[in-house]
Amino acid sequence: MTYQFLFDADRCINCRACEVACKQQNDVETGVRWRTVVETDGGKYPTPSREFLSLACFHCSRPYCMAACPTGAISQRPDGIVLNDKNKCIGCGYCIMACPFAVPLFGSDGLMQKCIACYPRIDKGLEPACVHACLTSALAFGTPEAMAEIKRERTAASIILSP
Amino acid sequence: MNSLCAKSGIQISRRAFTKLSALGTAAALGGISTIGTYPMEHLNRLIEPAAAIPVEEERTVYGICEMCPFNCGVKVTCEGGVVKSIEGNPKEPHSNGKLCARGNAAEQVLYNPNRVKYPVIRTGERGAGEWRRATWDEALDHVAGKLNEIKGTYGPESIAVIQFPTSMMVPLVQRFQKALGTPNYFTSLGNCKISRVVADITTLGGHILNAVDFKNAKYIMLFGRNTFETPANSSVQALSAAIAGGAKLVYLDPRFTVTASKADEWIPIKPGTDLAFVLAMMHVIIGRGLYDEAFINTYTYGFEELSEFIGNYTPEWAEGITDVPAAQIERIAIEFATTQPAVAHPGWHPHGYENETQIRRGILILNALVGNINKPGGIFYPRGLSLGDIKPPAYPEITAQRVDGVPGKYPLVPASHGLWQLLPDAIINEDPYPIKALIVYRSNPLLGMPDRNRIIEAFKKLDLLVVIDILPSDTAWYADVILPECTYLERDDPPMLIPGKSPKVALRQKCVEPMYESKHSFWILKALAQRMGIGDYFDFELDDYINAQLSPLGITKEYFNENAIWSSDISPELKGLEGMKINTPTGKIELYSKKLEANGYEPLPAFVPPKETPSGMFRLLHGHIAVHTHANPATFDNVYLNEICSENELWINSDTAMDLGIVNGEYIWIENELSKGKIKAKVTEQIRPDAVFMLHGFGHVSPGLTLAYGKGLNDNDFIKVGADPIGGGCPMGETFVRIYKEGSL
Repeated sequence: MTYQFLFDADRCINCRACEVACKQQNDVETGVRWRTVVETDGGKYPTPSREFLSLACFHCSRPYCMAACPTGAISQRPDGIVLNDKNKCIGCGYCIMACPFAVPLFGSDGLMQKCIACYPRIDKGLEPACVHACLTSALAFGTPEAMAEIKRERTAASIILSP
Repeated sequence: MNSLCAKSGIQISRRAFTKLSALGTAAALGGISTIGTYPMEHLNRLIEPAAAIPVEEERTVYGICEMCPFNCGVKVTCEGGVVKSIEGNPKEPHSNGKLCARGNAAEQVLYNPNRVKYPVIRTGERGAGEWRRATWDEALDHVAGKLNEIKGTYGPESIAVIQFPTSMMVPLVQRFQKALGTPNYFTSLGNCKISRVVADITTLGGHILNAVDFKNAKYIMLFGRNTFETPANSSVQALSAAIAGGAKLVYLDPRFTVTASKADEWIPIKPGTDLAFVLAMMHVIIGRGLYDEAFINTYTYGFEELSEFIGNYTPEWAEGITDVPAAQIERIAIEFATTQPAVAHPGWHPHGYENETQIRRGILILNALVGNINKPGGIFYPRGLSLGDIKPPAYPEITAQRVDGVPGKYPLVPASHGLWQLLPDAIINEDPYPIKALIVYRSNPLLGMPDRNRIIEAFKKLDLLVVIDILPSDTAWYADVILPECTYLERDDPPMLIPGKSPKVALRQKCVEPMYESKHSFWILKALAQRMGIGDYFDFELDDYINAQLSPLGITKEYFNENAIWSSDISPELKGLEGMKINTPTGKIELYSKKLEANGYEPLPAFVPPKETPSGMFRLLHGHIAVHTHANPATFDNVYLNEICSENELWINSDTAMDLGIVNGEYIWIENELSKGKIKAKVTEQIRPDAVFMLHGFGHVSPGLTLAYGKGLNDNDFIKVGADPIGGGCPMGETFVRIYKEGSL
C-alpha cells in the first residue's frame, strides 16, 4: 500500500493553515517551509485570475531524488513515504537538481530536509497535519484508489451541481 | 507571479525551548529591556529555568483559541509542561475540528521571547521605551494608588477602560468599570461593525452576529464580505462547502480578493456605492413582483413605504453610480429573487462610509424581500441562553455622561461598546471633561484606531496609561505601567456562550502553567480592586465565577474535563419566524424603521453618495489577510505568521502604475494631510484603477515586537476620525491618498 497527496486547486483559499500546521507539527525552522502555498496571478483587469497551489513533497513512486543521492541518505518506506537520513546526508544538493518540483530544502545545518508526510502521525493512523488542518478539504492524503475516488466524486458533483 | 506580501522572519522553536529549559542553563530574565530591543541571540536568557517544567504524561485539554476574535474551540496536546500541538475541537462549531493558520501558530505566542515577563513601570519619556522592573505588589500599589488619586481629584468618570470585545473576560472587566463608577467603557467596535449592529437592531430587532447559513444557500451575495480572508473559520468552511455543492457566488468588491477569485461573478463596484446596487435590486424585485408576498405581509413593516421610496432607484440610475451595467444588476436581482434559498451577507467590518448603517440595512431588507430569514440557507436569529452570575453589590451611581456622545448624540449606539475613535479628541480637548487615566485590556488602540499622531497626543495628556497585555504592543510601549497577562494556553476563563441554530457552551482551560511572572487578568483586576477599596465586587475566585455562570446549565467546571462542549437540546432546525418575538417597535422586521424615525433619522435606506475622490488622489481601501488579525501583535509578531506575511504592500492597478511610472516591488511614497510614508508597491490587475489598497495591522511602532517592528505602514495613519451619524462607525472608506515615486514630485 502506498500513499499520495491530493490537492484540489478549486478549493484552496490560500489561507496557509496547511503551512503553519506543518511547521507546528514538525517544528520546522524559520526560512524553511516543507509545505508552501504558491500563488499564480493572471488576466487583465477587470478579468484577473488568482490560482493557489499548495506544494510539498509528492513522495513519488520512483523518486528521482533517491536515485540521484550519492550517499544513500534518501530512502522510501514500503508505504511510499520518502525520507532523508541526516546522518548520511552530505548536503551536496543533487536531490534538488534531480527533483522536478524543487522540493528538497536546505536549512541552517546545510543538510537536506523536506516533507516527511508526518509519518509519526500516519503510523498512529492519523492524517498528515496539513491535511488535518485544511479548512476547505483542498488537501487529502491516502491510497491512490481513495484519492481517485475523491477526485471522481468532486468532478461528478461539479458537472451536475454547477450553476 | 505575485507575492502574498513581503516576507521575512526569525524563530524560536519549541524544540529549542524544551531543550534549553531541560538543560536548565537559562536564567529567568528578560521582559521589557532598557535597551528597547530584544536581540534574538540572547534568547537563552529569556527562557524559564528547568525547575518550572514539571514531568508530565501526554494529555489532552479542550480550550478556546484567542489568536483572533472568533474564539474557535481547540484541542491541545501537552506533555512535560509544554504544549505539543494545537488543533480544532471537532465538537465546537466555530472550528469544527479545524484551525486556521493563526490558530495553528498559537504556540509561537506562548513561546514568544518578546513576551512581557514581569510588571514594568516607565522611567523615561512616554514612548521612549525606558522601564524598570517592578514586583507585582509594587506595580499594583502604584496603579491602584494613582487611579484612586485621579478618581478623587477628577471624579471616577475621568478613568476610561478599553477592552477587546470578544473576550470571555468582558463581564468581569465591565464589573470592574462599574465598580470604579465610570461610564467610559469602550471596545474597538467603533472601527469595526458598530454600524452593522445598529442596522440589525433597527431592522431585525437585535444583532444577529454572523448568523448566515451559507451551507444551505444556493445563491450567495457578498458585498465586500471577504469571507475567505477573515477570521470567521466556520463561515470559511461553510462557504467553501456551499460553492463545492454548486451554490452560485456573486461577490462585489473594488478588489479581487481570494473570495473574489472563488466567485462565479466578481463585480468591481465603485467603492462606497453598494447601497445603490442594492436599491436597484429592490426596484427590480418589487417592480416585477418577485418578492415573497406572504412573508412581507406577515413579518415585515413598511413595505408600502419602501415600494414608494424605491421608485426612482432604477438599475439605470444605479449604473451611473456603481459602474455596473443596468442589465447586470437587473439579471442578478432576478436570479436572487428566483433562486431559493438566496442570501446576502449583511457585512461585518466594511470599509466604512458615513451612510454605513443604511447600507447594511439595505442588504438586510434585500434578504427580507425574498423572505429568507430564519430558514435554511438564509440569515437567521441565533439562539442563545442565559448564563449565571455572581450578583455584585450595588454599583455606585454614575451621573456623568460618556465622553463619546453615546447615547446623547448617538442614541442608538450601544454603550456596551461606545465609539472609541472619539476618545482621543475627548482626552485632548477635555471635552466634556478631563480623562486622566486609561486602562487598556488586551487592545491595541494605537494601531487599531485612526490617526495615530492624534492618539499619541492624547496619551501624552494622560496621568496614567495602564496596559494589560501578553506582548509589548504599540499601546503598551506608550504606557506608564505594563501588567503582563498570560496567554490563553496558560489559563482558565469564564465560559463562552456560542449562539447559533442550537446554543452551545465551551470552556477555555489551562494547558500549561503561566510562564514568567504573567498573571490571569482576573487576578490582576481583583488585586487592583482590593487595593482600591472596591474589593467587595471581586469577593470570589475565578472558579466560583465560572461555576456561577455554568449553574443554569446544571453543570460545573469539571464537566469540561471529560466533555469537549456543552450542547443544549434545542433543535437546530430553522423553521421561519412563526411564534418568534421580534424586538422592534412594531414587532416585525422593519423595512421602515420606527426607531430611526423616532430618533430623527431617515427611516428608509436612502442612498448617500460617497465623497468624490479629489483630483490626483486615490481612495485608500484596507482589509485583512487570512494569516493576521486586526492590530493584534499575537499574529504580526509571530514567527510562523510573520514568515508568511511580514510587511504590507500598496496594491495599485497596473494601468495606474504605468501612468505614474511605478514599478512592481519598488518603495513609493503615499501621503495625505494626516501622514506620509514609504510602502512597497504591488502592481496588480486585481484592483480598480481609482483605488489603492493596503493590508491593515502593519507599521508597528513598538520596538519590543522585534518581528513586527517597523515593517510596513499603518493604514490608520491616513484615516480621519469620524462617525456615521446613526450607527457611529468610523467612515474609514472616505480616505484619499496621493502616491508617487521617489523624486517624482
